[in-house]
Amino acid sequence: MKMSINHKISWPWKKISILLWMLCCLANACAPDLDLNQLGAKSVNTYYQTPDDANAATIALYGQLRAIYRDETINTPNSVSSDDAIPFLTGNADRLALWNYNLTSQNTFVADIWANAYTGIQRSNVVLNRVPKIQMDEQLKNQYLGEAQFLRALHYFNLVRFFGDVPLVLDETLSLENSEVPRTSASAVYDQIVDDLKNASDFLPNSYSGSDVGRATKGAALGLLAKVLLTRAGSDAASPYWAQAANTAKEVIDMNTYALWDDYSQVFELANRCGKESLFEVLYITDLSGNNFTTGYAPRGSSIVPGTGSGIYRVSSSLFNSYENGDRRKAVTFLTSYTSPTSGEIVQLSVDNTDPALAVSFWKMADLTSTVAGQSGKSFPYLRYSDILLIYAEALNESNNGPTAEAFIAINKLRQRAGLDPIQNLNKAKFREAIMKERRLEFCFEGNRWFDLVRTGKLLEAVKTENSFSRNATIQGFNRYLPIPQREIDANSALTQNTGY
Amino acid sequence: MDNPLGIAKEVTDIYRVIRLLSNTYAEIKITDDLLFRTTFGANLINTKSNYYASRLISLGANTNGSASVSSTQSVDWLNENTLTYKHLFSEKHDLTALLGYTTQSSHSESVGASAINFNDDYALYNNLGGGATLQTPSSGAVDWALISFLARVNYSYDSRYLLTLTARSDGSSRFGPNNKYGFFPSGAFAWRISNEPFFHKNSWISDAKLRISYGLTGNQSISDYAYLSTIAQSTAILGGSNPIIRLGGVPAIISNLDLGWESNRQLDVGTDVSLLNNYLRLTIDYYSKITSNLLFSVNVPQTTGYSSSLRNIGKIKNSGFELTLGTTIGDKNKLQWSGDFNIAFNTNKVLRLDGRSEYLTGSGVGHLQVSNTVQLKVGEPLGNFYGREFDGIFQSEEEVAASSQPNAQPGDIRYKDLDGNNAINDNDRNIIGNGYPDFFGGFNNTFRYKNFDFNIFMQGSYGNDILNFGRFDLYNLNGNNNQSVDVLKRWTVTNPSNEIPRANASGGQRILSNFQVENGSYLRFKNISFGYEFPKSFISKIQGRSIRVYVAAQNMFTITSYKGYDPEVSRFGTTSISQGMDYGGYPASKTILVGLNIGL
Repeated sequence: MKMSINHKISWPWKKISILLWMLCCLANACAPDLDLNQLGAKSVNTYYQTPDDANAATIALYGQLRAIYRDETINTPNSVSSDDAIPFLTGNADRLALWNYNLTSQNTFVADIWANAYTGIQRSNVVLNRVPKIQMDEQLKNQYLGEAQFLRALHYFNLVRFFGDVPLVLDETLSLENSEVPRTSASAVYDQIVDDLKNASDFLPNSYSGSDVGRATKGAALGLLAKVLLTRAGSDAASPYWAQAANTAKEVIDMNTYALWDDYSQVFELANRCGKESLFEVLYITDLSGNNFTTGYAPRGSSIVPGTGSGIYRVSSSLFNSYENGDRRKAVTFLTSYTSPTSGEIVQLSVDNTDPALAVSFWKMADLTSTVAGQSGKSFPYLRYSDILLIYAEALNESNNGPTAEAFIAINKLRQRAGLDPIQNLNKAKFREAIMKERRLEFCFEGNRWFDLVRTGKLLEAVKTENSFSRNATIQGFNRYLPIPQREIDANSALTQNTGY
Repeated sequence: MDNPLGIAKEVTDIYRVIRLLSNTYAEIKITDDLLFRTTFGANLINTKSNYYASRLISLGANTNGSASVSSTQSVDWLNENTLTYKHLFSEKHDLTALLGYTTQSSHSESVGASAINFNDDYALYNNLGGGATLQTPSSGAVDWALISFLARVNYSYDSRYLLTLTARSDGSSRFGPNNKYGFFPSGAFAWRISNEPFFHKNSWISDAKLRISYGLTGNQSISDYAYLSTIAQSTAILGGSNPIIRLGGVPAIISNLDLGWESNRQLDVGTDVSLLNNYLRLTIDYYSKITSNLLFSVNVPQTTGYSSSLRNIGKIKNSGFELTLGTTIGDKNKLQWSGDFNIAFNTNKVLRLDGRSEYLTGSGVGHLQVSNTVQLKVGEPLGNFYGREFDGIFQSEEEVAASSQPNAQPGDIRYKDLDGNNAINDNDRNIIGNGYPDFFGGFNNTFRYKNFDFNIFMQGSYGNDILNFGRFDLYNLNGNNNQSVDVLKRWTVTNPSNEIPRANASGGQRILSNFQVENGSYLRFKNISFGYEFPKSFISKIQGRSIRVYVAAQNMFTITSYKGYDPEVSRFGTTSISQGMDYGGYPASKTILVGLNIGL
């Protein structure tokens, strides 16, 4: 029967079979694949397999840090919202709002602090989730995990100081399920920071070599832990954290890894990057991948820097006039005059002249070798040994109800380097004052001042006192925290706003 | 904003496209009724961009000139295979059935390079090596593919009833592995009433048709690989006093493996009627379209580590009427008028979002960084601008003291305290405008008299608002940029304006309120032209076919109260979410054309 059917195939059916055959060929040849891979980059599904991937994921943590500290994110609120600096008065209105405390939840500086920190935290969470599953050298693996914990702690430390209670996210975001995270109490956030830093200090090496220099070390983790504990003690005289801060600082000192440079100017030199005084810093490359510390803060319009100076903010008279006679730090820290490259005349700068072109400027991190605007190469000094000494001195003073001999030795090391007479015979309150003043002069423009004023409860007083340029800041107690960014509240119904905003 | 004249004169921006289209097909007639057709089309596109901003404007001044060149090369191909059966049964039943399988794919590569710091502006973009600082070059490649299966039946009975049924299944590489394919059936029915036997041929109705259609269509207009989290590079610097760049890898987005087709379910009912021997032509349409699984980039909490994520969210309904009326009256030798008038009314409504009842969206604009400008809310229309309510200007210290804005000074904007808590903050935001018009339409008129013709085409939109971001710059009086002349009427002690705030060296804060929202209604004379056609007797002498001279003016007049450059321009293009936003968008140019058409 079959044969007979075959014989009966008529002409059109033959055509159809040819056609079907052609169709199949075409379908095979032309059917494109719908599962297309990105040609220029791997995806999360194919990444995180090798030790190299683990290293790259960890290096990305420093990429976010570079982005945060190259601009204003942390430094501007610390300078203009305290009593150290006055913003360019006809510049960005949101920066001005940080200065006169006309703060709203729409402020873009505030939004940047939040977004940048959580981007960094997510990168740490990715490392902490993915790297443990990669087959690789255990010691190296632990180092990467330690770096991730150190940097997660660094970001949460910024967040908890700026905002108080914040959402505590510790897992990698893989989907949007459960992404509306409510705020966690500041004290629980601090517990996590302390945990992360203790783990990191166990995992991290004392030092690196070659192109790994600059990664987080054991000293960086311990040093930051000391600072966290000091901050956590707040202005509570009975806090147990004072003693813990003193002990941790002592641990760093006893590592005998760190020391002060002989001269304050050496701290910021390009050649001394990651040098003996540096526990942790954020590195840049002149002209290639730099920061804005040169053009950004030079007197406005001045042509002594690549581009022309932006004068983002200027030095307050209260800071400028706080230096004792003979303090060598003053000349390193500020630009007080310059020779005009065009006219050859010497231009004298002042802290009072309203012309931003004639304003005394922050200069200690200016890189005069750079030729491209916004690409200068000096590091952001995140944590220096001098900070450890002052943390140690302050914590000893608080935990021992007055300064100990060791406390005097620590602070006087800094004063001696600055060319000042040692201090002695001070009571607890006077010593506390001396520490605060020393911190202000030593660390101005290094992202510390506002944090220091807030933790010691001196913010209102300081802001109201520094009232030049008709600041008239409408600061109130609630301003010790920034507003939670409105964009965030709009996107996350579990969030609440800080009191007062 | 840069000086527009400076941008026009000092920026060289050239974009060239070379495109090669080819199409081949083969047909096999299997029987008289059955046809197989396969086509293969390829589209090769080469583009080249050349850009140079000179040192005379701010775009190039900071970098001593800025040059870049980039080029893309793409190959798109399309293969369509259809099997069509067509037969007329009993002389009245006309049936066409089609089965099809089509595949489409695209591969595109791009490369770009740029340099800054030139000694002079001479070479423009022609010598990137002349720049002292070379920027990191870029290159990339993108693939895309679509596979479709389709079936269609067209049936017509006696040219009176027409029925079309279609079913198609499309698979796109752009969507996540869980939802690559979408199924989109549709049906349409038309009834040509004027072909019915009961219809009198010499009636005053010359032609009448009733149409109804209902169906689903899909939308895949998103970028490639948008569902997949690829690894992006992050530049870090390590190495102490001899630092080098080290590259790290980070997930670029949150993967969304469920990302799938956006679908539109649309009902259309319409009628076409010609009256009085085609003197009057009328088309009326009603439509109702429900868009589901909207492809939308949702703002996500930054605590995820990301700022937005592309999702299929929600449901939106659009419905409305469209009316077209056309007529031709008179004789060309005396005076003839052809008029075409159309008007469209559309309303839309958000039916569902991603579980939330409302949220804010809208990204920042340039340096202004004013974001979250649009509110999406269930039950409300799309395009709602969201901000504070302008409530005049503070006239005195007493008014400030009695208000909820203790930081304000006389001359500052007063906002309404909508929640009545004696504090002005972001809880005092409300809907302050809508970017969609109540109606829009056009009116085209052509008058002919002997060899002369005269055309006026008007187009307009009514009831829409424009969020004019330019007002943040043009009224800030901070001394950094050009201002609107309106600032001359600003509040001063001697000029107690209630509309324009005082001069404020710090420019004030960028708070969105109705102060930035303007009425966007307009009526524009898109085209006015006047022409003369040379008489046949003259043309035959020179052995041509036709000669026409004309003068035309385009976009000559616009009646509007909008203060930006152009009410027709919308910065964010045509996305349905961000209608009616303008930030100094480049206006449509006014053109005067003098033309000569010669037919040989």
